[in-house]
Amino acid sequence: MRVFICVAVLLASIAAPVSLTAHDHWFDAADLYPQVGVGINLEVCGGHYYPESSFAVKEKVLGKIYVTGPAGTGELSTSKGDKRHTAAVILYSPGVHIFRLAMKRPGMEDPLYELKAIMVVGDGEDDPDRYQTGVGLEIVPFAPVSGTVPGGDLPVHVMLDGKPVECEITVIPAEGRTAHYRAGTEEPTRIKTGKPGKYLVTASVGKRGCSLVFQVGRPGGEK
Amino acid sequence: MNRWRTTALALMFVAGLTIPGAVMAHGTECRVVQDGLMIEASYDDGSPMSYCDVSVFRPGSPDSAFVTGTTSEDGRFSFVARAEGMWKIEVDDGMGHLAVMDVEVGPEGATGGQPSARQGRILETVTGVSVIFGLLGLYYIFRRKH
Repeated sequence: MRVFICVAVLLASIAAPVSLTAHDHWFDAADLYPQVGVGINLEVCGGHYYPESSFAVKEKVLGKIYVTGPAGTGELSTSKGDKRHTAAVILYSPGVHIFRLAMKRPGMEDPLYELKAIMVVGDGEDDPDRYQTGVGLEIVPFAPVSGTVPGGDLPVHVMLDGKPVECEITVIPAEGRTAHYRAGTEEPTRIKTGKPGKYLVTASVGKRGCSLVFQVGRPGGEK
Repeated sequence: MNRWRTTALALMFVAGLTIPGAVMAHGTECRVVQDGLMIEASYDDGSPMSYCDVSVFRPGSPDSAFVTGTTSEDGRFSFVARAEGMWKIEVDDGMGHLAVMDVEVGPEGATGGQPSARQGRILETVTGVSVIFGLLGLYYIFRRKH
């Protein structure tokens, strides 16, 4: 009987993570608090097991990566690898930079998946008023991400074209347990953080999915 | 004589205008045919795999696509399978999902198709069965101890 149970548990542990979750897509970078003028590799990742990227989406699906910072908005070009697309970028303006990317197949009207990452460069102000793009489906924090301490929480709304929407939110830390929340349209949802490191937040409304990557704790402490 | 010459020149002029057009132009025509094989690709939740890349492989040619294309908004794609044998159809959404189907084509046409890479549904079934077995096992262990 014990062997029987062991086999059943083993099968369940192999099967459950794959069958119960859809593919996520996210931005990744070694550090989301880079210094001014330092080269960064921004990666477009996808898979089931954040932070490990399992595949690179096709170029025709990828779309353009936009970065909006204090100096304005620009486009990034990418190179495709086996398991990720990579964009090399150097940011010269201190402050909040928002990276965003909408994935959709040619012929579709609405994006299938929208990626977003918040990067705070150098000693610039981490102003949460800069977090919202107002375009498409996005997860918007309402407090400075750099001020989020390990174990603290971060209030967020899921917004579609600038308006809060109701949906499920999933929070996947690079280290730690996945948590699920229900986002409403009134009060922001307070997502709990644990260890320092990067966090992936995902949400979906209908067939559209979105993700946000932010980092708890600056390497080297608070600026 | 002048009249004949004028008439001949006029005829030659008209012929010069019309003959090249008649020779070089191609007429086009569309018609509906009740032939071919239509597949429908969907995700596990039933939503269609819209605007996805399709590759169709002939029997015996697994490395070279016989025809490629894109699914419609409702996840459909059709083609004509002329050769008998096992045809393979791949539908790739470009975002990490791949549906693969084998279709047996006989003298009477397609006689059946079966998804060969619908992992999600298989894994869900395995998960369900495993959970049931696991719970039963825990119940028996609990009963034996008491």
